[in-house]
Amino acid sequence: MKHKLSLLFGCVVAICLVCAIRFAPVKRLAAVPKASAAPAPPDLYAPALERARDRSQDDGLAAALKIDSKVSLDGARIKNLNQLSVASNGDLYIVDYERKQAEAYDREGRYLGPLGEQGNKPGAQLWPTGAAAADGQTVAVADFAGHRVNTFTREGKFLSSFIYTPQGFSAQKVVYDGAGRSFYLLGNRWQRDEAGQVTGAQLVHKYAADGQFIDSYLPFPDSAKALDLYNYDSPAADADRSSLYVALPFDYTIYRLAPDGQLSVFVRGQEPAFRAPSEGINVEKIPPAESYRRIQNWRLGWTPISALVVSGDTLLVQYQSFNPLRYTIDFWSIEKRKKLRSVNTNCALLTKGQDGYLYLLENLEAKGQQRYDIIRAKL
Amino acid sequence: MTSSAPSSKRNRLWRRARTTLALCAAALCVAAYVSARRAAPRAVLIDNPDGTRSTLSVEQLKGLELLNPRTGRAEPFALTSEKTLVVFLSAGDCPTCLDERRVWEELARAADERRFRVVGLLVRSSPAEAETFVKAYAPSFTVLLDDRGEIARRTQLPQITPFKVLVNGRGEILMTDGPNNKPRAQEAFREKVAAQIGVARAAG
Repeated sequence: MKHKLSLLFGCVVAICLVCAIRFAPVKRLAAVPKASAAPAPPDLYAPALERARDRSQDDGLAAALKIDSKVSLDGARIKNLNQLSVASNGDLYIVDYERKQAEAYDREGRYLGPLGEQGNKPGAQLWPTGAAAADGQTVAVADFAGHRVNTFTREGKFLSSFIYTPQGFSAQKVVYDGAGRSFYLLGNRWQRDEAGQVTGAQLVHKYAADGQFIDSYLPFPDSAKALDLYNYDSPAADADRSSLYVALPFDYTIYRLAPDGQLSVFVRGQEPAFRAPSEGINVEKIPPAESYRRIQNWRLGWTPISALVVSGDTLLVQYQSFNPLRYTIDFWSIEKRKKLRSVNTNCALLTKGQDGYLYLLENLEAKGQQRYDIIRAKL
Repeated sequence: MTSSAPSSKRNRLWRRARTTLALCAAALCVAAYVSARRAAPRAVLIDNPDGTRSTLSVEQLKGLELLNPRTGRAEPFALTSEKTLVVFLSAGDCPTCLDERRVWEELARAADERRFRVVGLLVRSSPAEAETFVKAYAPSFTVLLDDRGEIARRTQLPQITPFKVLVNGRGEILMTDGPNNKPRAQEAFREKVAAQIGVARAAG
């Protein structure tokens, strides 16, 4: 009996021990707090635009140029008016980056039609990045991804094309020099070492009117390599009397490419109005949803050159300054190589038309507008 | 009572003959089936990036008149070698074409033209673009231009370039391959073609 009771007692103890071990409350480790994600930086760009808008009455453009007229383009079709070119009869050729479409409008702003369809055959574009009025009411459209330049009539009829594949770059812009009958394509033609690492790039590439490659010019500046500004080097350029004037966004050095292929520094701009970037930006480390805002914030820290035109004896250089109007345009005498004056304005997309007029977009932003108002003016 | 000994023997012989014939017929059927399965197809189905499917056969390319960008003259497309690697490429938007060009050049050198040839068919390119392409890259193999879009019209192909098809002189398709932008994939393709054309290793 005693033995049985002892045995029973032992079993009960064993069961209790097992239960205690099995069902004892587990002391949970305190949760390690997640490292909180760095807060997104504030949007500096939108307030800057607002301030510029609030100061619109201080726009100095009307005092610097004789405004002739305005033409409006319907915003229902245009999502992002990124490039503008004007023919000798006033036709406007635009490139919409968002729709990846080039198209033509007449002088009064009436839609003429598309310049090329989406595609990768001659006469089509995968990603048009530039349009340039060429000879005889024709227009050339550069394709960034298709590595070709298509030429159309103003009605969009395909005429001819040439590829620039062998030169190994992608064209961000196209400029046509009527006097020299040449095309200039602007884009990074990479230079690599034996290990395949990028050591630099040439940025300007000249082609005859029939597409024959002539040569590449303008090496990427060493000073900008440290900041890795290759993705932000879309040049501002204009052709005048067979010379090409070109500037990079981050460097107020105006180069002149002569007809014989000689590249020289034409003028250098001065501070404090113009500010070069002091740091680069790595978009790979930025969440895609934030990249636009971060890039715009970064651009507020310097004054990117956005346009350059030559009109008669005057060289105009436009850069984003937000002081507080969005842009500053410097007027230079080509003969004297001296800056004559500066004007602050909210107008963008400074362009020289083949018709002798200067064109600017009056809207503060080049995208998402119900109507795009384009000023036609003269010096 | 009827004597059945001679008829029984006849019946046995007849049954054996029938069995033998049946077995032979079955064996022939199996052999024919296996043989048919082994023969290369004369047409293949291609899955396109847009989700559609296209059929490609050598028959579709018969009678094609293509432009030789080097000479500016029309030439008929013809399979004149025992095996031909037909490469569909384009002059403009095809960085992989430029990457893989090396492999095609090596294969073209691997065997004499009676046994094996590489033929490049330029699509979605104009005559001026084709001329720029051959001048810039000077391919050692024949390059012809489909300047009228006949290939696309007949085959709905190729949607992406480069697209490669290895065919024999009988119009059978031995293999197909799409773009290979990785060196390993390019090497694997080279070895597969080299094995098909019977060279130990295409010169690298």
